[in-house]
Amino acid sequence: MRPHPTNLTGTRSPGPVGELDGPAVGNGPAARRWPAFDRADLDRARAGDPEALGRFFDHYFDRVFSVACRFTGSVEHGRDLTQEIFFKIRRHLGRLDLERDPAPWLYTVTVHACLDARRSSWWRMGRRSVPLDRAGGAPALASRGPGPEENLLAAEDERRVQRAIGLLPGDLRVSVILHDFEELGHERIGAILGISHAAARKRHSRALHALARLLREGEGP
Amino acid sequence: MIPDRDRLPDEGSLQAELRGLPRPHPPWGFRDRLRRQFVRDEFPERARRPRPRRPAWGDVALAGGLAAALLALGLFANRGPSWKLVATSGSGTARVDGRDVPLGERALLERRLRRGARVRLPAGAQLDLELPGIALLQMAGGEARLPGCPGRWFARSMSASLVSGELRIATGPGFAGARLTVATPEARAIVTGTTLSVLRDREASCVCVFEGRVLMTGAGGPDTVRAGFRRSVYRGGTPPLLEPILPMESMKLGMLRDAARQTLTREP
Repeated sequence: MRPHPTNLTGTRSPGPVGELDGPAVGNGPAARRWPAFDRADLDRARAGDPEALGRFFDHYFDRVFSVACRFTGSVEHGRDLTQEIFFKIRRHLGRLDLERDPAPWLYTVTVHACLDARRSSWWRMGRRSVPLDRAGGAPALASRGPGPEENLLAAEDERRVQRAIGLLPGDLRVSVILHDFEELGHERIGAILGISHAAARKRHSRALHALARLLREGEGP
Repeated sequence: MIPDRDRLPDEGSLQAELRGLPRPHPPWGFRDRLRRQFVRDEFPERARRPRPRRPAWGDVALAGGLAAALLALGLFANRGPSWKLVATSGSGTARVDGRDVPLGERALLERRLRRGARVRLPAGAQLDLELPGIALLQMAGGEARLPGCPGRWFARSMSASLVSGELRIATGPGFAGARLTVATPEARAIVTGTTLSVLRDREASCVCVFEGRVLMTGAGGPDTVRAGFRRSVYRGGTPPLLEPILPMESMKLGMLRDAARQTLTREP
């Protein structure tokens, strides 16, 4: 068996964590359940087959884009980050291990790209950019409620939550995004972040405490 | 497992709220454009450009090494001259930093007489030392630790100690702004530019000031000793004594002062 590729940030990729694809853990909406990517397609994509590459992109785009947008809090910067992540993925696609699910590696690349972006001056400038709920993300809200009032309330809720997520430290933010938006289990998150299962659980618990506190403070007079 | 008591009361509803949020939608056309770029491997320059990242450990180590090298260079450049052996008198063997050196072997002795060296001389022996442009030092018998040298721009304090015997010091123009502390078991003499001697025997420490002023601390509290006086601090509770300097000591210090004027003020 070939060794699992080293990820693009210089750390080891998570290794055998089992199938990340397939039915999601938790009771999220059905839209968040991901079928496994076909291995034959993965082999063809590695060889540069355009159709297989297209299917690979379609399979993972939503996840990468979602994590990037939730992390940056901005569709504009989520878009830039997604482009950068897919560039990295394309560079290293040929080294992917066919025997393993590529999803953990993709999440690892995505998370590290997010954390790196946060350390850059680009990120600090980006804090003043278009928020998630006022750009391309807005149309999604239009279908959330039965009427305009419900839509407005839903949009306000999302803005409030996203603002609080944006105030979390990077590692806690990643924990919430992977567990509560991507609905990954703590063991898988631990493997992606290079920490133990218990540490991932504790980090998520701290993240929820911090988020709840931020939301309560945001609701103050 | 995280115990239930650690859970916030609204943790469940918070998670439900998070999971109920819709996925963000990409801007119109972005997905198709990026898909095309991905399939054809034709990414714009912007995506290829590496984002500024946290400096690698190698960079941090390099910067640290550079800073350390600059610091070392600064410290090296700040170093003043070393002690120069001008003359020796008497016979026997000196002990420098625990090693015996015959007084007759001048070159070896000079090599060993570094800043901070601990020197023990036999009775009747004397060393005349010079810090070029800064000070003359005369050590007669006994045991002492040589002072260092004041830095050129910073770290201009130096200190010496006298266990027994006599130390005579005359400072020159290069001493300006520096400070020398001579410590004995009973007292400390703090010098900022003068001609003085510090003498010590079994009973007492004595500071004789030929020129200028010397601040002396120890038993009886701090006191300034003016030119022409000597202050003796005794062991065992006898009050300090301030008296006129003895003629013999005055003569020795006068000679040292004259030597200092000749040697320390000459052009290098």
